[in-house]
Amino acid sequence: MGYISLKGIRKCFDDGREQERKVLDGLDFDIEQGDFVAVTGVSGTGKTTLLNILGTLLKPDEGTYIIGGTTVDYSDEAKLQQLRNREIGFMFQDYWLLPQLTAWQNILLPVLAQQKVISSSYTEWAQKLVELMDIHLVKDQKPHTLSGGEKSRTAMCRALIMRPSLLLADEPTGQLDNQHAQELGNLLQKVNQQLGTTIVMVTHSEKLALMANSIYKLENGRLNILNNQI
Amino acid sequence: MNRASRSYYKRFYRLAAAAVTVMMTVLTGSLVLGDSVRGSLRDRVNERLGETVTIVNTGNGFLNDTILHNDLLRSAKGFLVCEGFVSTTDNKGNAKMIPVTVWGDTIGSHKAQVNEALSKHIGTESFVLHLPSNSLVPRGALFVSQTHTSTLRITSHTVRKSKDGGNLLLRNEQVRPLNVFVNRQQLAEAMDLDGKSVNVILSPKEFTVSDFQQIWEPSFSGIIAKGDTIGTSRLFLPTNIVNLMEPEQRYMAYFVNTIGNTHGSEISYSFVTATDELKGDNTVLSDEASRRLGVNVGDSVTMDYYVVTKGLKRLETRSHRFVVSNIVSTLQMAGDSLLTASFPGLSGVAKCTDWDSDLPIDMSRITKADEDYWSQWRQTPKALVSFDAVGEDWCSDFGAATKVIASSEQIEKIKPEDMGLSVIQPRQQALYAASNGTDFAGLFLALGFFIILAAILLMANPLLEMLSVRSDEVSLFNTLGFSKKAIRQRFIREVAPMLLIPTLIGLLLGLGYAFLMLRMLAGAWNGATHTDGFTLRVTPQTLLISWIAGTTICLVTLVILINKEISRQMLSISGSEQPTIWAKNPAIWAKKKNLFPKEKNFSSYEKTASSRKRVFYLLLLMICALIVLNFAIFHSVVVFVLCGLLWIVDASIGGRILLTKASLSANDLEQLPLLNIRHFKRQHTLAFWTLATGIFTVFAVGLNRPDIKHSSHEATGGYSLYAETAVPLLYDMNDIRSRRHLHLEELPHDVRFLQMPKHTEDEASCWNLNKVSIPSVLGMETSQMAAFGIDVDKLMLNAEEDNIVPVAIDVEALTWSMMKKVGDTLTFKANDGHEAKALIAASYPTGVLHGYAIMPQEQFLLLWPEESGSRVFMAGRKPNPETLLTKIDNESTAQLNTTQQLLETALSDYGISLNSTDDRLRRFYEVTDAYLSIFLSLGGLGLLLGLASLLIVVRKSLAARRQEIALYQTLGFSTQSIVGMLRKEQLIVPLFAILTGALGSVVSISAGIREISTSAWTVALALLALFGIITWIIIHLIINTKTIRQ
Repeated sequence: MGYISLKGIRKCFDDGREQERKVLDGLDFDIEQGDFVAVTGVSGTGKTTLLNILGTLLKPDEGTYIIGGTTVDYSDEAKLQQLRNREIGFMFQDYWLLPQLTAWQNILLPVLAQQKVISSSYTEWAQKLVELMDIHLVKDQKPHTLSGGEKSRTAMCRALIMRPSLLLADEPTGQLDNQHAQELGNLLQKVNQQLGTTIVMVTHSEKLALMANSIYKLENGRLNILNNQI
Repeated sequence: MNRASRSYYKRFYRLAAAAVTVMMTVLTGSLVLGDSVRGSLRDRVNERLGETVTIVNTGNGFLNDTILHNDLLRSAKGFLVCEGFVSTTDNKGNAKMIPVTVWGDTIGSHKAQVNEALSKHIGTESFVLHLPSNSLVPRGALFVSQTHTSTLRITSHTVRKSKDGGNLLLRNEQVRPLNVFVNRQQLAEAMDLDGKSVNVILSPKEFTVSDFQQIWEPSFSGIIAKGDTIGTSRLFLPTNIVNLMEPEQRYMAYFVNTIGNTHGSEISYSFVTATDELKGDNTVLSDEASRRLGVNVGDSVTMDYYVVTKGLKRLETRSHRFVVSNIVSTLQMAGDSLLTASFPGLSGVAKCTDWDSDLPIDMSRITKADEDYWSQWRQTPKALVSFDAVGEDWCSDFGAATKVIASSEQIEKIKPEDMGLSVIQPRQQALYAASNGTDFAGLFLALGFFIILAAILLMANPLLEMLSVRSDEVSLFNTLGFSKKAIRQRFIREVAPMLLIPTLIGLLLGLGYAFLMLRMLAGAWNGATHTDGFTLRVTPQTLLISWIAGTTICLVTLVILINKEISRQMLSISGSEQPTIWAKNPAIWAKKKNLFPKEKNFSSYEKTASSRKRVFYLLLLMICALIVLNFAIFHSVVVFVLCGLLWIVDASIGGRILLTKASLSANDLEQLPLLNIRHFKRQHTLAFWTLATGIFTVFAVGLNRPDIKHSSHEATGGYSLYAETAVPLLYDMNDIRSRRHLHLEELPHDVRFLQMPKHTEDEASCWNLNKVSIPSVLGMETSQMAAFGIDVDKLMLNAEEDNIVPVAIDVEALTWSMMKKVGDTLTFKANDGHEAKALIAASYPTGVLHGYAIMPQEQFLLLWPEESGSRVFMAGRKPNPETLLTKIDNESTAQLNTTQQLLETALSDYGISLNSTDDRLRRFYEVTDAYLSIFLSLGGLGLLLGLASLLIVVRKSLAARRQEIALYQTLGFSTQSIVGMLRKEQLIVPLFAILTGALGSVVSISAGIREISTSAWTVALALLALFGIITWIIIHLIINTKTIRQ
């Protein structure tokens, strides 16, 4: 059993016509700690649903989700929130940066879920991250003044601020050109290698997927490994 | 395409339409209300004047009704009008006195009619009508009968409807009068008017004073010409008439108390006539007098006589020594009609002891010889004296001769106006007064201003929200090559029709609003007008004006919103963050960017924050300075209100500084709610202004309610009782003899009176909705004026100017009823017919004498000598001569009641209407209170609208920030912490606004802050807390774990 283990995950959605649409159908998935996994698949196959289940944002209809050896208990909202905050980092396709905050404030935002006053350890860590991501010159700017690349790197810093063991990235390069997409891929590799963060990345980009250690394709509600070949 | 967009975004349009409807309803309703009140007042003019086009008013004199037979007055009606009072009993058997106007009309003898308003008071019960028994001689004159009033018992009466002239009233007032109509001749007899039975002529024909002059003869006004002998039925020929005629000879018959010789012999109570035929100190005695006194030619005699003072009737006894120059037979004296006059109460009685005179005659001094003389010679004078010797004493404001010798040419010099007659066309002036009185349209627009403001903000909210939601659409149009102007116009074309429909609905609802307000004015808010029967008037012009105004407001708001929002979005698309001022000046912006590059960490925020701070402190300093200056110098309520409003502006700037500070502190993420407020500043600004101004308005008005307990000394002048009498009180009530005369001996000695003569014109108090041109006047001793807050020095500064009479008018009457200011002039008509200019030289704080122009008594009596005596008096206690008058306080209520009862009993014949000054003030305050209630009700409604606006803003904000909330959840924020953060964010601004508004209202009422009662403070604080709690509850209901999870 890996660091992350999904067993027999089923997830259906009501399609509005009194019928249920099976998105995940008995999916099993194991990921080792420090792995970098890419999940691909055509649109509507349930990639984001899988990511949301991994991020504990969605509860599977059936199946078990174990992370770090602990089975996720969906009945305990507080524990789930704590898990999301401390163990899991999120990167979204459109970054979800709050327009009212500067890049720096956006990065530190997750800390507020745990602390009322941001401790210096987090600010020091945030400083390291912005330097690592090369956004230290724009950290005091609001999101609408940042380029797409800067936004994505800001989002990555925010995802890493709590030093999560798992980073979930949903189409992280969806809004970037090739050059910036390549740069982001490199950064994800850097994070994976230097920080040892487990990364699960959903992407349509072949180039980005190839930068992961292993590639899975989601089809008919199940994952099939492609072994670095798409 | 527009149709599809309207349908798709209908949820926004529905809300905006509702807001427009509300705004339009209040706007239209207010304008229609103004029309309705104005129309109703104009109706009242027609109701009270009937078909009257021209009024002939005789002033204080009377006309012989034969004048009515003239062609000019063929269609006119002559009336004998006087103020009287009705005494009747109420259901519980208590005596009730109702002041009424008595109209002597051509109705059948021993019949009476009352108008509908009076009928409501007295029903069908019989009643006693008390009338002033003036006789033709002015009551202030020396020789009048002792009887002040006469009565008519009315056993049955019918109701005279309004259409039949039941509500006749010559003053410009909308309150229906209490009228009694009786037979004119009968009334004239009761008033002892000796056949003169007309003092008012109402004509449906228009004619001028010169037309009237053609038909008028002096004899109609009581001038009696027999050959070259001119006399009057009013005993004394007025001074101005005597001066006008410049007669050959003047005769003044007088009543002297004693004629005595040097040896102590004397004759009591004799008639003596002064004549120009004698010079120096010479006297001619009748043989009868010579015989009784035992004096001959060359001897001296002394005559004692009463002299009447000006104003209140105080009798002084004076003496004059004469030398007997001749002795003539009594028969000769009796044969000369020039030497006698008819004295009310003295002439025409059988015996001396039957004399019914107001003079204090000691009947014990009347001897058999006196009675014998009276029996044979009646008022034949016992002596003639030189006019020069006694003229100054015997002539008074009431006349300068009893007879004169004048030629017909000299008589022709007399014009009607010299006899105090005036001819006026009242309708035009009355309609002007009705049309220019209290502007209810403006008043209700002002009262409902906050609703309109809240509705505009409520309209702006969803539209802004919709435009914000549609930013992608703006971006798309921009991409497709649409110009900014084209995009703006596209949105305006889409939105405008959606706002026009509700304007039409609002127009209709406005009629309902106006109707409701009229009903409220006649009901719960009746205290504001004391009038009922307002009817709804709708004119197409008003509806059109209202629609144009409402539509313009909507469209202007819409254009501003769209322009601003589209410009903002376009700037956002282009990635520029330049503020508006720089956007308008791109060159300056570019320069500024170069000057302060971001690398140097000198952001425009810091620059703005720094200048904002300066503005904040400067404004705060200015407010403080204004408050101090206002307390020290201006004492202006307006300045305090301005300070309150400035405080709200300053607080909003202060709030922005705090928010900017929060955003500048990059690490202060724990101030996330403040950062969010700053980001969503538009909606928060709307919420702030709606609530702050709402609270300010409601609390400033609410706390301003006058409190009787805190009324200043000046409001009452220190007096406890205020009384008006239908019949003037001629005697000085502070004089012990007068008190005896008036049966007020039991009155405590420390009760002091302030008696004031009254000249009746229009009611200028807040009860009259008409514009008042000429207010009623009270004459007051200047020494008493300071007690009422009148600056006597200021008042008298202009008193020495020729032909200018200074008056002081209370602030509220001056501003609202008369719409005049200090320095303006008024024109009064004096008793002798001349027009007198009066300068409004000062104003005084509104109090118990509200609505009266106060004139120095001396000047008052020069203008209206025939209105001497007091129609208004006030009473208070004076513990000792050194201290000021003190109001009878609660501890002395029993004493106050005793004084009140004594006065009411003793002066019942005078038609006394007595109230405590507190009661009178309370009645005035009721008007203010009623207006404040209206303001509070409408302000409260506006506040609710503001609260609804806040509710919508919060809900929309939550809906718009769903993704943000989802992010918080994703990042591991607990639902509770998200709820807490959002609640904090949404509560900060409303609570800040509530506190700001409340503080602003306290600043605005600084002028009278000490006069605000504890109960008012308690209610205000309770309401403030309640409002805060309601806001808190609303925010908590909208933002909870359930809504966040959804």
